[in-house]
Amino acid sequence: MIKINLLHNQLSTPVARESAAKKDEPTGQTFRSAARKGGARVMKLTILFISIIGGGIFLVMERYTVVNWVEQYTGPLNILPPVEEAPSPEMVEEQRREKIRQLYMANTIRQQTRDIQFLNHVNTVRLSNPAIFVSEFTLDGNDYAIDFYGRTEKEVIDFTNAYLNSKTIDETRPEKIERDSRIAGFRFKRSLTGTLRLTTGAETDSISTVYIPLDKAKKKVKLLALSDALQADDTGKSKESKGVIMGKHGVQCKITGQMENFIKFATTLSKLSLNIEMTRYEITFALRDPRQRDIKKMKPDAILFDYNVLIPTTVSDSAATDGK
Amino acid sequence: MSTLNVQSDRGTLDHDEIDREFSEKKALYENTALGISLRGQHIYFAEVEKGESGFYTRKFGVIPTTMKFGSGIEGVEKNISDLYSYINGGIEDNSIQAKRFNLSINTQLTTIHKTYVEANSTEDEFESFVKWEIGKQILDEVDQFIVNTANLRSLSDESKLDPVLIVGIRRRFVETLSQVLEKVKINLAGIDVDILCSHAVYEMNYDRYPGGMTALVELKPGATTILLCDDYEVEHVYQFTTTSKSSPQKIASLLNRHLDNAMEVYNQSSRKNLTLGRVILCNEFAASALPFVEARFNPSAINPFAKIQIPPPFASQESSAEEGDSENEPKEKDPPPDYSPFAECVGAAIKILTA
Repeated sequence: MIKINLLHNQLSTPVARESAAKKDEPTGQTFRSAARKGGARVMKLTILFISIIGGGIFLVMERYTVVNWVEQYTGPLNILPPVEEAPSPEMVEEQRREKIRQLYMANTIRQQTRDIQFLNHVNTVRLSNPAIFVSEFTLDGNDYAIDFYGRTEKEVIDFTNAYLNSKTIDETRPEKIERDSRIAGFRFKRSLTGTLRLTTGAETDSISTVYIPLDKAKKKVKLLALSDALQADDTGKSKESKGVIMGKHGVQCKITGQMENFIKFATTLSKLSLNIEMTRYEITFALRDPRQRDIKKMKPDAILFDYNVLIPTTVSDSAATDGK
Repeated sequence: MSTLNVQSDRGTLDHDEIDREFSEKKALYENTALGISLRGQHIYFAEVEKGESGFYTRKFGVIPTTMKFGSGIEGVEKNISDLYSYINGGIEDNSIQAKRFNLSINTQLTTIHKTYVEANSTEDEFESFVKWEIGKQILDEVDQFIVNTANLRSLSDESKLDPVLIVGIRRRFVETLSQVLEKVKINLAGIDVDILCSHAVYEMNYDRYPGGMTALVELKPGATTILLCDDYEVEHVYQFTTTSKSSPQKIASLLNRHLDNAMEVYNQSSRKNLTLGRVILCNEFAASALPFVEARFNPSAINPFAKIQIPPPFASQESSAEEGDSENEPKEKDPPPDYSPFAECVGAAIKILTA
């Protein structure tokens, strides 16, 4: 009689049959379930599969770490694109500050351009009226002052009219004509004070600034001045202020040379887009002998030139300051 | 405040009676089993008792259902959810006393295959070979099948190869049936296959046949299985398929051709020259296909009660049919009752009692 029971796996080996035949007993011998073994195999394969998938996911997620580790031994592989990580809060803050600095510098450049144009205008007016001696010119921010001398009152009035007709300035307040004999040959003096127009332009304009350290900025100013036949010397006056966005290191230097060269110098310096903000010009014009044609022998003008070197304040600097 | 008088309680118990009842119950459990076969739309059952003189059938019968067994519904719980209630009803209505039952299921739901295994193979080698061998018979993973093996008679004592019968069934069928039949009042002791239960009945009811081999044929629509037996030993398994709507006549005509072919295949593989002595038909079409099986095969429908006793009413009916032959007056002859449909359930019960 063939005995089976399909409720369970039941395998009878030939050995079992032989031994059972002697005893005349059922030969069925249940041993390890094929299904259990199959289940174990499926489990192993499942674990292996999950491990492979998990390992793959780990490698993909940590690919930069893995490649960096491999590159320690192999050198640069360049198999991964640059990391495009979400900016950190510090980086966002830094970008915000830089944006503000660039807006500030754009506005500064516009203002400097205006100032240089005004300097050029004043110089042109001055040179076109050789009868008038412009002794001093000061431009501090938007405010300016011009002192000039004339031999006669009429010359002073004519120069004033010529100046006003140029319509460069927003507001000019001519002072009274005074008698002054401090300059030989000139009997009348007048001062003009005024305010320059605010610069126009889009507030959203920005300019990428080249940041250089303070020492380098000073050196740059001297070299530029030298290249324009000017002599620049620090007066030693300086002031420093620290802001959240940037710090300002105010420097004053005395530049001696021709006004025309100074205008070139200022124009070049402005175009370099350095972190240098020209703030104040105090020019003392030299009384020249009209007969002197040799430029080298002409008396140089003296210019007190104030400028700020802008040093960005980074987030880490702020944190360090806060920590203190 | 009441107290429990243990001494007095003990005094009222009849220990001899308890022991006697216990031994009766133990004997009933050990010597009585219910065999159930699911076939067509019917549940065939037989309660068989094992006595000193042999097996005795206490009860047998048929329970009609609305289910179509053998079509694969055995693997879907919702389709056979009522199976336990049919069986419980049959147990109650027929006063079944057996405490365990063996379920015989359609051979078509299983894969049955004979092969040879190296005689000295280890357990691991044997297991891997069996899995490989049955893997060739099925389309799915071996792990989805429950596999049983049974050792068959070896070709010779010196043979290095031992014949093994491999029976596999889809695990889903077993799990679903087990789950549903948990609610049956008596225990499910095992699951067997129709053709092997028929083989058990054949072994119990039929004498050895000296005229040649015996072909035990499970004849039903769908798939027909032939066990070629030399005496009681299964020598060869042969199967052929028919359509599910094939008539008994059609299947019988196919059988006539396949029997010759099966013998030829067996003789070639075993290098013997045996002849087919008799054909015993069993299962659904045993009786209806019998007239169409060629007489040269010496066909007959299986009779599970040839040697196994049956209850008196059926026995008297059977004897009266036999006595009719001796009457002198011409009398309309009653056909002998066809008990072949009960072969599988009787075989299932016998197999559990001989386990």
